[in-house]
Amino acid sequence: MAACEEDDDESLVARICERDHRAFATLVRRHTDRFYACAWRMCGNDAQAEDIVQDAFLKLWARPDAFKPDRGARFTTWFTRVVTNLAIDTMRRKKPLAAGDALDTMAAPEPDAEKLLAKREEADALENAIQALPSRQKAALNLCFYEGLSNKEAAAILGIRVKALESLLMRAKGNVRDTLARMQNRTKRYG
Amino acid sequence: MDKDVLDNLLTRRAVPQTPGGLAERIIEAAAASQSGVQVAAKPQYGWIGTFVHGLLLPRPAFVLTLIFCLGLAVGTSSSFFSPALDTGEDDLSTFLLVGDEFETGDFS
Repeated sequence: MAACEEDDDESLVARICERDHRAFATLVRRHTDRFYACAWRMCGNDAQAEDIVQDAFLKLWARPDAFKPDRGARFTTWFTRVVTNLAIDTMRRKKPLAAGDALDTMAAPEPDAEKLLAKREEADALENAIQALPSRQKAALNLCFYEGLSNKEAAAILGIRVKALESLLMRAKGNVRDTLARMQNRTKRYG
Repeated sequence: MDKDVLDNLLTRRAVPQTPGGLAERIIEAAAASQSGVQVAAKPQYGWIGTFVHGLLLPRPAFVLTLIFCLGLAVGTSSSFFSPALDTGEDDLSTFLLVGDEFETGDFS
């Protein structure tokens, strides 16, 4: 039976359990962009994000039965957990990025150089503030803000209660706000 | 900074584009790993293989249990290897003798 573009993720994983490489290819093509973005938001580095996504998909290929659809979980939620945990592990093992590295590879220059510079500085400041967060705060922020997960789903991914997740989110936002304020003060003082 | 301003800023957070060909590289790597598994099938050595695999890290629990069992075995069989150490009775007599000396001492 050939894997089909219209098949849902869970059926594709069922076929991957039967070593259907075409089903795996369909799933990878469908979700690489999404999970690359998820990994990149966690580590802020192109090469690391690429490694994380590749590792996650190869783990899925090696052990597709690790996903249990009978528990009512969606594939994307489960795989977000896999990618997030791999990213947290990677960040523990590797040195965090130095300030300013995070968006070095951002593309799409605009014609108005001054506007571009201001936008870029703002984006850099935000990215550096987020990347400076402790990994669990960063994960909470990313899961709730960018992965479109409910607080309950995000809490399940991080293995914590919803209240604890809300507390992590509050601390994450507070820390980002403080870091940005510090950066603005420094710019005013020296710039 | 206002809460709404921060939320607005967070919403506009950018992510770079996925590197070209990443999906195809992953698909190829999976295909290669599949053929690798078929070529180099896991050798079968029975319980010896299982035991040796158990000693490989990361399985510290297995290694620690083994060391503990070895320690117990060596500890309980030490008298067998060196009977001279098994002189508990003599040691106790010496100790009691010291006690007697204290009792009969001159306290005046």
